[in-house]
Amino acid sequence: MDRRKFTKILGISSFFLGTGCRRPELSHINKVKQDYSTTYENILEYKTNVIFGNFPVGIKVRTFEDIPFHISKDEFNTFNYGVVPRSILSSLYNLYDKNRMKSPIVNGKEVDLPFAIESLFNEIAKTITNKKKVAFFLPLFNSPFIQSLTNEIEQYSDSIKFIALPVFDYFSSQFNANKTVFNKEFYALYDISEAKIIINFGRDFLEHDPLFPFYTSRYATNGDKILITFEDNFSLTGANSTIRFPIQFDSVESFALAILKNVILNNSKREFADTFNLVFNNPPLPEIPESLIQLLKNNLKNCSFICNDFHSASLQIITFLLNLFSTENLYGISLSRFCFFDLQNYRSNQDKFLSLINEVDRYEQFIFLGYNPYFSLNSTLIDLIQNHPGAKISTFSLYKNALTELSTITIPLQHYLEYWLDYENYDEKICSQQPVILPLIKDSISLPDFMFRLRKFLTKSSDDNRYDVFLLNYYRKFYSEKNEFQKNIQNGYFYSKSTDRKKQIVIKSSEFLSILKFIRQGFMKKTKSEVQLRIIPNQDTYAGEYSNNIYLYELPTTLDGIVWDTPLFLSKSLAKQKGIENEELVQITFSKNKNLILPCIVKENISGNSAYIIYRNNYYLQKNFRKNIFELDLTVVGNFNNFFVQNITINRVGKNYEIARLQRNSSKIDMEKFGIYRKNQPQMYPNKIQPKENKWTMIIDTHKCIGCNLCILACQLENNIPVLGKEQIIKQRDLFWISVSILKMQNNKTKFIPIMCQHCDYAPCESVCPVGATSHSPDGVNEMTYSRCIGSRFCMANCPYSVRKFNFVSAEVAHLNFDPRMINPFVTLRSRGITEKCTFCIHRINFERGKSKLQGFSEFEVTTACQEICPVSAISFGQRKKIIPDDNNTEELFVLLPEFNTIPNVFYKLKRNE
Amino acid sequence: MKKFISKKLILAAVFFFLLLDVFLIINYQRNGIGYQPIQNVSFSHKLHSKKKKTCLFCHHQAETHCYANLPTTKTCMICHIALKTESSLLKNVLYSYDSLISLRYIKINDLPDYVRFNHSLHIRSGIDCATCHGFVDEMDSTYQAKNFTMGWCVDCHNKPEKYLIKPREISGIFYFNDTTLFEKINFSDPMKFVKIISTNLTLILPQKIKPASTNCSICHE
Repeated sequence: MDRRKFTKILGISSFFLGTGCRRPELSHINKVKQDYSTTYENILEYKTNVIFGNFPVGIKVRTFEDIPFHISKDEFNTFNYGVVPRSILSSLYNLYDKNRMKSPIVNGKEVDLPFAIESLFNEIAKTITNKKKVAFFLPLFNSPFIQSLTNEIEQYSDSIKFIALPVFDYFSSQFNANKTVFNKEFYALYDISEAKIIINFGRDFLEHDPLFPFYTSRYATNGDKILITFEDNFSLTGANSTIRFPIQFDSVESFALAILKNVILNNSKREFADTFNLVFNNPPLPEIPESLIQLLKNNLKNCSFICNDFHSASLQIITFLLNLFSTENLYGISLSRFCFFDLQNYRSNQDKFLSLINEVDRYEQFIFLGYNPYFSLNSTLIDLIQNHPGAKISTFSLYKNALTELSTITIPLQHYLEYWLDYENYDEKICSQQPVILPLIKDSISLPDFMFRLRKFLTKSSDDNRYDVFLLNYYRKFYSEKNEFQKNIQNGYFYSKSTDRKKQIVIKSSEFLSILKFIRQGFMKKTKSEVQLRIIPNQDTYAGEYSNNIYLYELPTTLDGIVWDTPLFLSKSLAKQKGIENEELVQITFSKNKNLILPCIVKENISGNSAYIIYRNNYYLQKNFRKNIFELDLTVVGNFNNFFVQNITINRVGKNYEIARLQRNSSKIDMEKFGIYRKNQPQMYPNKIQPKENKWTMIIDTHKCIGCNLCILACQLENNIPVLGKEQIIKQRDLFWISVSILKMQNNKTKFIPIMCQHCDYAPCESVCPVGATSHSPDGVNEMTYSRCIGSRFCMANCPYSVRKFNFVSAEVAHLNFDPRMINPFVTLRSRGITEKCTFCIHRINFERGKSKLQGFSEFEVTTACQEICPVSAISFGQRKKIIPDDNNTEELFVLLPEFNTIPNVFYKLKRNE
Repeated sequence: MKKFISKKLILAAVFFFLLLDVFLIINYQRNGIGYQPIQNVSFSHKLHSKKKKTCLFCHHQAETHCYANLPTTKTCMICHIALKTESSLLKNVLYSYDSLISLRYIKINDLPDYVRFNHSLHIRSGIDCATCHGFVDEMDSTYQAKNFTMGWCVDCHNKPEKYLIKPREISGIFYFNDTTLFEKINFSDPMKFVKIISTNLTLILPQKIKPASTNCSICHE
């Protein structure tokens, strides 16, 4: 080697060394800029309403320097009383999502918004002149503004039809039954808030329900309730219920009838009993335990009955009768039990849809304004579009999907936080949806804006130029005072009109016969099919396109801990018949060579030959997250009646499939290991002084907890915990700070126990850290200094609760799909090679402490993120003195793993006898 | 020649450069004292403190916020719309006032991103600006006076009486031990009038200087 070469190599190597070694802070710290530092004035909260299912749900949006970064509950909304569905809670992801459609596309070319809308309008004008028809499809919700616009446009020309359809049609079964039996068009919501015993016929109202916010908020009020469930699947509601009957899906009606006969007709309403025996004499009704009948007889006035909406019409009528008879006055209905909801829109839209099917040839244009038939499995509409010659499809959508591939004109929609709209709720309250941020995508349009422009184009009116000004003028007639508008924005709702919603429904003994005949006709036909498959729409799907959210896919299901995949659940006896094992691929054969291959999970506690899929469409997911997941395309199968399929066969494929599941801490919470919290425990380090009064403590009430997993999601969003993807979860590298474990009690009841960092007084993790990255604060918080951690993981090994998590992936890399605005500015992002855990929301504590110091108060209150969102308020947090005022009265409080003598600051409420 | 350049020597050289790099990096971090960049506006704190402009006159956010602001162009133009408008030093300020392009300053006293420092809480406890920033009012062009390391912070938190400088009039942090002082203020003095309007707070100095808490989560959330 020459001297020159040597110096060259030396120079180059030293150059690379110099540039390659970054300053340690650069690689080791969060990238959130110091400009985001805490201030006490720039945080503002706005109230808005969002459509979930078909009803508006009230939420609060927190903004920092005019950028929304947090969604929390609005306790004063009378529809949901602070219960927020998880898809709405995490929908800020959709707002900042980089995969949203950026620009309109006309004939495969990217154009700007005015051109796209103009070309759409021109095509509409062409079809009108050709005397053909245009069909608009919108999602079904009750907005007076949109309703008035559609009426105006439809009156203007006959060739335009607006058809609003629900995401999943859960109305029709009850609606049609009420229509034929009572001659009145309504949908009854059963208010269960005042009931003490709830008898539930297969409705999973605590998880996968379009009315999840309505029912769960009412379930949580007025103390403990006894829940009795008849169901074919093993749902969260079944797990929460005190008595659970695992029965088959087609025998739910007969169980309901047996209760009607034994509890009511043989007891109080004897005049109806004879007619009942006349109609139902031949197939004997199933037997119901005597103790249950006695319980219901004694507390009949406090009973409430609810049933699955995706079931036969006769079940809907039976539950209505049960509710009617159990109330005090038979003639007329007290409003405490029923909330009626008129569905004039629904009825008229169904008629329009049927007429469209009859005269398809006259239609040329199909325009989808936020409604997607692929998403809601509407296969009649899909067939109609695909097989229609010369059909022109145009879509308005947040994302690219199967429908946008078919269409010639696609225009991006706005997120719900970007535009004004109004909704009318079930109790005739007008709710306002207000924007909190300017539209992030320049060439996007909102639904009311488009409707306004269409009306202006067709009628050639010279009104205002902007839809929001027009909307405000529309509402100005309701206001008597000037300030009233601002007040309504602050409250989130106002009453427009007051009408008497009480309906008189009287059943005479002569009518009763015809009702019973209707019930008998509508009975589900029992076939001896091998498998009874039920498709249960996931809760998230009711949020429409907002369910395209990686947070929701990584959120584990409470009962199984399944992440990312949508498997088929099989009963144990059925699996034994077929020789199917757990986590195996399975082929479902529908009629006409229609097949579906799925991974399956064998479940106990399910009756006979029932199987079910909790459906969500994963076509919408981003490609890099979708590649490891099994695609589930149910549109192949065809139309479902009540989402229930019979006459199918299930066969083995002979391949295994790995389903990502979260590891549980359930081994750590055996009943024997629970110990009573004792005041004078022997101390390991007696010299260490512990303050007793101002320690931060948390109490989790296990009687109240329903295991909805909202606390996990709220914690994840608050503390910037990244979404990792399926590959990482299979390696058990999840980063959730809270895990909900299941405790089986002696009376076969399940209790859900959220486990987070216990913030022990004598924390085992603190003593082993070689660099002192975890320490104990004087107010009892076990704190973690990320910039100090070197990742030795001794603390993880030494933690008996295994709540510490290790970052295998840098948070920056994991957040690559994100906009930085999504990140909570008050919490640091953790980099690779660092352990993390629950901090008791230390940023909130510091924030409140500083605020109180500036205002001159010595006391302050803090709500943690999990406490804030809990729908049943099972979590309480505060200083020791306030939360446990009497140290002697702590018999119900328990501590995890007392034999380790760590003295935790998280307590669990549990009755000792259970 | 080939004998001279062996593998060991290359390794030694690489190792030497590596050590040098590490040494440089450490030195770069620690030795911030005396850092004095040339700013766009050659603002003299010394000159303005003679005119009895307090610190909070320009950095008013420090009193109520976490983050002490740098003054906007409009703050300068409160006085300089009429005063010394033809000075060559004001050229950049006037340009930004006309063109609506905000002034850019180079930050001198900079903390790493993982540290959360709250100005308002420190001012609330009666700590003068000079404790951390040095006597800026005597500087012609500003430089870093203290090394902003963690040890330095923790030292002061443990033994504040060693380091603290009591509030001076020039910093603008005014404080009352008794509220009667409020009445004694001479409202004919324009400077004090400005002070009262700018703050809604009445600051109360702690009676004794106590050591502050040193647990990690106070600064590292």
